[in-house]
Formats: sequence, structure tokens, C-alpha cells
Amino acid sequence: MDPLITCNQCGNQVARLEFCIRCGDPLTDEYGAEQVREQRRRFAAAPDERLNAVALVSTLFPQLPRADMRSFRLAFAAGVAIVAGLALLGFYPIALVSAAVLVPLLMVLYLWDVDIYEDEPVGIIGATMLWGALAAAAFAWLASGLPAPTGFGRANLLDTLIAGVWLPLLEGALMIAGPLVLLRSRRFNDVLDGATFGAASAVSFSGASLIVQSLPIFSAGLRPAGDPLPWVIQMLSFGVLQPVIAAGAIGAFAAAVWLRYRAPISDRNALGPVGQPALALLGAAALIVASGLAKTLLTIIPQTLVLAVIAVVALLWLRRALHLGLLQESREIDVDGEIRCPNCGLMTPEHTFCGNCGISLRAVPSSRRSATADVPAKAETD
Amino acid sequence: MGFPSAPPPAPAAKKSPTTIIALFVGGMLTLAVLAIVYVLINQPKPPAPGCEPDKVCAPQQSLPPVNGSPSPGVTSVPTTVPASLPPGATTAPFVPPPTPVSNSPVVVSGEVWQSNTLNYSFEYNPNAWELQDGATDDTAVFYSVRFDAQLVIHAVPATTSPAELIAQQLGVIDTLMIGRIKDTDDYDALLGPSIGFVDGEGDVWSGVLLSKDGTPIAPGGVTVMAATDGRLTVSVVVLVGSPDADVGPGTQQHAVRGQADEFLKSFDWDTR
Repeated sequence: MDPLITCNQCGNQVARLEFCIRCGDPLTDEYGAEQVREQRRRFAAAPDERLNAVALVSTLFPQLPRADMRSFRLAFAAGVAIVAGLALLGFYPIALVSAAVLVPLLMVLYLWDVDIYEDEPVGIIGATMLWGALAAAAFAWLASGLPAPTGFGRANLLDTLIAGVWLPLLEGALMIAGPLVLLRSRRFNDVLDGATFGAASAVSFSGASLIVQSLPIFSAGLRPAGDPLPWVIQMLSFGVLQPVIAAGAIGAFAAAVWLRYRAPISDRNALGPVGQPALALLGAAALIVASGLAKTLLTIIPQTLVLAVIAVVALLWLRRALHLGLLQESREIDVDGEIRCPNCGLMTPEHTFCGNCGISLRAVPSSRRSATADVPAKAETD
Repeated sequence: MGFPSAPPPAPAAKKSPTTIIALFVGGMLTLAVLAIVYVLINQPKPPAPGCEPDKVCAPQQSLPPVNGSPSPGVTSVPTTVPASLPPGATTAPFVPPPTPVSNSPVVVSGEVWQSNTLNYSFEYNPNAWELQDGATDDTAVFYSVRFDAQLVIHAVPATTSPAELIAQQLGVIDTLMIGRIKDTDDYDALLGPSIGFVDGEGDVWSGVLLSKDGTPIAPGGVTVMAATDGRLTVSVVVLVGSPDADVGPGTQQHAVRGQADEFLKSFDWDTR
């Protein structure tokens, strides 16, 4: 925090005290305005976090109430530790499977925990993830049929374009194809629906593709020969960075599509470039191609660093798309009674945001919105 | 009007944290156990020893029969000494005859690959190896027709030592393979590395091969050797996918290395 504050009365920057040390004006208004600015920089789906924070759990699982975020963070940390531990011990095939299922398993757990589509066909999200897995299997089969997937030889431009550009774009197209089918249904009209479908399809595709393409190494025994350190790095890339890039790029593109064609908003241009499907498509393609080229051209350490940067960009983009979508969707709703906020447990007028904790009530499953109206608050201190 | 300085306390979670973490870890462990079972079912058998203890063991033929090599047009005169002499005859001290000069053409067992600027050559069996497009005077890359394998011959001036050339080749290999470590298995050991009958140095490594996008796709074995004649330093790399896969009497790596012998034995260091 800046140690100084600008006094509205005299315009000077002064120490953060109760009164201006230059003109004696009370600084209450200045602190209030500063707090408003600060509140506006909060993420609508998790108001205790900044909009531009690199927060994996609240971005990939935006409908998690605050009480569950910690559990998911712990589960994620445990998963990362399991993957790294297995790789360090030399159980590479098992570490690979664990890395492949780390984020998809959390996604399944998230969907079960928040029960987002309780009033929809049971398999809607399962079908989205199944699509991702089946498409990945088909993709892996196609990729295995391409000539010279690996080996020596001089850098070949065509091979590089196939491996670094064409195949990643095909992957992205397959990831989004399944969720786009759901765009026709008017039941799924929230930006969070689009983002959830896109992210779920992307992470299941990412995990399944890894397992299917790596099947031959399962015939090398439990502990194939190899130095553990590169494996640990590569497994964390497979388990965390690559699913995050896929989920970020595809989820943000799907969010833009849903915003444009499904969300009940009056002024779609207010979202700026983030809400334009054509630009979002270009952005997603750029992230996917950058990631593909990094994997094709760079050795493990620089590759991991570049992928980490791309993952951060993808995560922030998805977060901003979700945030703007949640803000815009608030325009056309009337105040309709009071409900108990599932995030903070306090009563609030039923609109788009909780008046007490600031969470977007659209970022809370509808089942919890309706079910919490008459339930007494069970506040816990954690 | 002020804003709350801290968010209100969170309500109780729908599912307890312990449940969520236990379900997640349990799910991961379940999938890990399934993966372990799958791996154990598909685990390769240890390679059968070439010879059984206490039994006569004939060496295996390392190269396929040579096909299509031209027969020598002229043969040299035999130089045998009569096996027996008439009774009473004495023998003059044996003087070895001069080595006959052959005018027969050089025996070529396969295709000849020659570098026009660095002046070295070697032969290969085109039925066993396919030359990759784009070979240059200093590098030739071959794909095995039958096995999942690659062979690379690379030559540089002798200012680069064999050890340095091996290190360079390992740098390239590290872009294709993850977790490369030395293969200490006696069964895979490289015995007396030489190229074109010039002694060299080399070793065997193993790891997991990567696809172009970095996905681990198969266990890999790599044999790298290099030698120098004072004019050139040459390296030979034999990269094998699934090296321990059983192919008849031995492993895939052994079979490929057997086929690679042809390159090493036919290597001509100076074709000028």
C-alpha cells in the first residue's frame, strides 16, 4: 500500500493519518474512495481476491463458495505432492497418470460439490468431459499416424508447423467442439456455463490425450530408467501448466461466445475485446500455438518457463472474462426479495451480488441460491 | 458509509474439507493402483540370456546374409604348400610368396554412402535401413525398416575430440529423450567400440523418448560412440524405441545394434 494519500482539500500527498497534516481536513472521504477503488479491483466470483491475482482454484472453479476453496487448494496441493513424489521415486508411468488426472479429477469433484446442474440432465457435464476424453483418444490416434514423430535430423519447417501449430490448433478445435453443441440450449445461458463447459472439456482432453499418447511407456515396467529431476519438471508441466493453458484458452473463448450469443445483456460492446468471439478466438489460438511452439522448439527448462508464463496469461484472461461477464449480467435483473448468501451466510437482497461480502451470486450454484433462503446462518470462523 | 474491513466469516461448507480431500486423494490413489496393475500386466520379461550356463554356446550371427554382392571376377593364385613330400626329399627353407595383387573389384555388400567433401564412406543394407532425405556431407540419418530405430552418422574435423562429439550428440538426444541416464545393465554394455576398425569410445544410455510436443511416448535406448583417425572425428548414434522389447532371440536394441555393425565394419575413413 502507498504510504501516502492525496488530500482532497489541499491536493497534497500526506501521511496516512486521521487528518491532513497540511490543511487539517479529515481524510475519511479519501479513505472511503480508496476502498471503493480497491473493492472494484476484486474478482466478482471471489471478492476476497484481487481481479488480477494468479489464483488457480477460484478461476477454474469459480462457483466454489469461500468455505470450500481452502479444501480444494489443499486437495490440489496434495495432488501436486503426489505427482512430484511419484516422479522423484522413479514411478514415472504412475506419476504420468496422476499428472493426467490431477486437474480433471478436481473438476469432477468441483462439479459434484457445487452441484451446478442439479436440475439439468445428470450427464450434461459428464458428457462434456467424456467428449473431451473421446476426442483426445481420436486425436492421439491421428497424431500417432503422422510420419516421424520424433528423432534426429535437421529442423524441418513442415514438421515444426505440424507439431507446433497445426496439431495444437486441431486440439483446440476438438476441445471446444463439444461445448459449442450446448450453445444451442437456452437453459445454459450464463457466461459461467460456457466457461465451465469449455474448461471441463479442455482439461479432460488434456489428461486423456496425455495418457493415450503415452501408452507405450506402460510396457516399460513400473520404474523405467531415467533421471527423476527432468521427470518432476515435466510432470508438473503436464499436470498443472498444460491443463491450465487449455482450460484458460478454451474456457475464455467459450465465455466470450456465451456472452455474445446467450447472456442476457443489453450492451455487449461494453465488454470490450474480451467479449468479442472473433478476437477471443484469435487470443485462444495464439495461446495454444505459443504453447505448441514452446513444446516443440524448446528444451525442458526454457519450455517450462515459457509455459508457466502462458499459463498465467491464460488464467488471467479467463478470470477477466468471468469477471466482466458476471458484471454485465447484473444489468437486467430486478431486485426480488432476500436470500441468504451461500458464501458469507448473511441475508442480502436477491440480485446479482451479495451486499455483505460482494460475491457474484451468479457465481454460486442455483441450488444453493434457492436452498439457502430459509436456512439459518451457520457462520464458522476458519 | 463504510465498507466492511474484512469479509464476513464463511458459512459451513456443504461437504467437509476432509471429505473433499479424502475423495480427491482416494480417487488419485485408485487410478494409480489401476495404472500399477496395467503396468504389471504389460511388464516386459527380462531378456533371456544368450547362453545357458554349462552348455556350449555358439555366437549368434550378427549381420543378415549379404545379398547381391558382386562376385570377384578374378581370384588370386593359391599359395598352398604341398601337404606331403616324396620319401627322401628334403625341403628348402619356406619362403612366403609375395602377397598377390588382386584386380578384383571391391566387394560391396549394400549401398555405399560417401561424403564428397570429407572423403569418408560406409555401406548399408537398403533392405534394413532407409536413408532420410536431406543427408549432408557431414551427417546421414537412417531409419530402420523393421525396427523402431534410427542411426545417425556425423563427421567433423578432428579438431573436435571424440568425447566432445559424444557430448554434442547427447545434447541433441536430450531434446528427444527425458531423464537420460547411463544404462549400467551388463546385457546392454557396449564392448570395444570402434568405427571402421579404429578404436573409439562410447556408452549406452536409456530414458523415455518424447514426441515432438514433449509427450513421453516410449522407453528409449541410445548407443553413442565416436572415434578419430587424426583427420576426422566420427560419431555413430543408434537410437532405439522400446529397447527391451523381445524380438526373437534377443531384445530390439540388440537386434538393431547387430544391424548397425554393417555401418561400423564397412566404414572407410579415407576415400581419397
